[in-house]
Amino acid sequence: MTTLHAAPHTAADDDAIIEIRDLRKSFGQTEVLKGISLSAHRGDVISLIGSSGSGKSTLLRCLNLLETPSAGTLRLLGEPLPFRERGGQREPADRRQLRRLRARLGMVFQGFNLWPHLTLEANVMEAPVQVLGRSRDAARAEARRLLERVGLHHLRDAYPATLSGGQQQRGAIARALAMSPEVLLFDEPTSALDPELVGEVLAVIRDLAEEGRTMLIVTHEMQFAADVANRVIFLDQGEIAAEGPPDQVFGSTRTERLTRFLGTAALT
Amino acid sequence: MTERRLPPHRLALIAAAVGGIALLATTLRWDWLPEYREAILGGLWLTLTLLVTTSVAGFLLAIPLGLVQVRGPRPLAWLARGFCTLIRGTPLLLQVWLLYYGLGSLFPYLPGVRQSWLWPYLTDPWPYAFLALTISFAGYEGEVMRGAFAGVPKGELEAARSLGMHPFTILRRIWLPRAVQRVLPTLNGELIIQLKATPLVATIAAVDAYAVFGRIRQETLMVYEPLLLMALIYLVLAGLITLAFGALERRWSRHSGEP
Repeated sequence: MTTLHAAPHTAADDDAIIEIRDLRKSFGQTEVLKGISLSAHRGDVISLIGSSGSGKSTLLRCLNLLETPSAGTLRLLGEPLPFRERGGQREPADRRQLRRLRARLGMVFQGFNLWPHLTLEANVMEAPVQVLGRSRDAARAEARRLLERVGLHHLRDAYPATLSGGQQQRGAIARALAMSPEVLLFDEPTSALDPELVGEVLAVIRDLAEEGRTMLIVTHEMQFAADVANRVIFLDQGEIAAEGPPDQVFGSTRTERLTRFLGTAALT
Repeated sequence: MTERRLPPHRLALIAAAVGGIALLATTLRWDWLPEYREAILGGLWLTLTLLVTTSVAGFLLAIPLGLVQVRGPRPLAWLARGFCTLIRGTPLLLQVWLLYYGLGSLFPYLPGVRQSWLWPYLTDPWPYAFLALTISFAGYEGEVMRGAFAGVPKGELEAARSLGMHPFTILRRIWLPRAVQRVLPTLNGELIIQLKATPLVATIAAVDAYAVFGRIRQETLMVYEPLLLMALIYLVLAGLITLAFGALERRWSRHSGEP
């Protein structure tokens, strides 16, 4: 039997782990994202580059709904995410679904955002215990394994305020990994770091990329973006201005806008 | 441990205090003390009970009062702001009297109240004292907690949300502990102010420490001795509160990462 009514999602890319269509986001009168479509597949490492104000952080924050898109459709981990209007505000229709999906998307912030009242180990244990209902013993064992992995095992009882920025960011990565996320979102993970601390954080991220994890990375580190990603997306004034494998985007066929941006960003 | 050794000016102050107390103890009359020992302890007990229960109950009320002002919903935020403004903008003495003489004199007219089990309590002054001091503390601390909730960096809450935490879990595990941590030094001072507000209940015939010393002065016709002892008692209580908070802050605020 042939169907006359094609289901709306048949157009969707069913393998995609993240898929957005015509995503728009405005803050007041300012439209920051002007219709972005992209899909990420399992194992993709996507670098989002662009100048400040190009909307790349906003795009990333829309993906786990820290910002609510003003328009457009969103599919996360194969599930369409419906919205509703409430009191003139657009918001995710199903809060439980949102929490369930967020638990499977890890996010690493520019400002680390570790919780200062908890030790490093407790920071990493917190979500597995409170969200996934893991036992404290299991969560602690996993936290120690992850802290070992990011080279912070010896600092597990330290409080965030006593750590360097690089250590805090590596701790924040361990905290995100503790939820065994299917996608990792990095929002300028090295922008708040002193130059000499950038390397240690990039090494951890590179390591995760080589492991085959699905990642979206907003970054200003062009060399890193080119090295680690299998796809680069260049955002300019709220639109995708160039997209493709790194050698193609950064290569000889680069667009004029990208050339101008790279000229100011100094490809090192 | 050189920092533990007392500096000379402290030693001089301690010597002066000891000397002063010795002078007062030997030159003034203290023979009335044994007779009023029971009464003083009873009054002290009421003062302490009022202080502890009203500040605990008031602080528990202050948490939602502060929270809705930061998070909404908007009608509740307005209500909470109105409550805090009203309480902070009127004298506590007036609130005590409105509750005791106003509310208290309405109850007998309600049918059945005189026969109910509540009646013996409603004729006592302490429920009104408790209520007045509780809403007063809630009003002030609601405003303090509003600031404390608003002051917790947004990123820390976003990190919790990004991990799929339930809003209530975020409040219980992250937002509230961080807000309380920030508010501890303020709370120390507010508790001392609350301690010094308790004597107002003496005006509605509750027999707290202040009321007891008032009675002693009337009965013995002495001026200074009871007042001095009363001052000493409040001073010691305030000192104990500060010591307790010092210990709490050392345990809790050490790692806040804030100056």
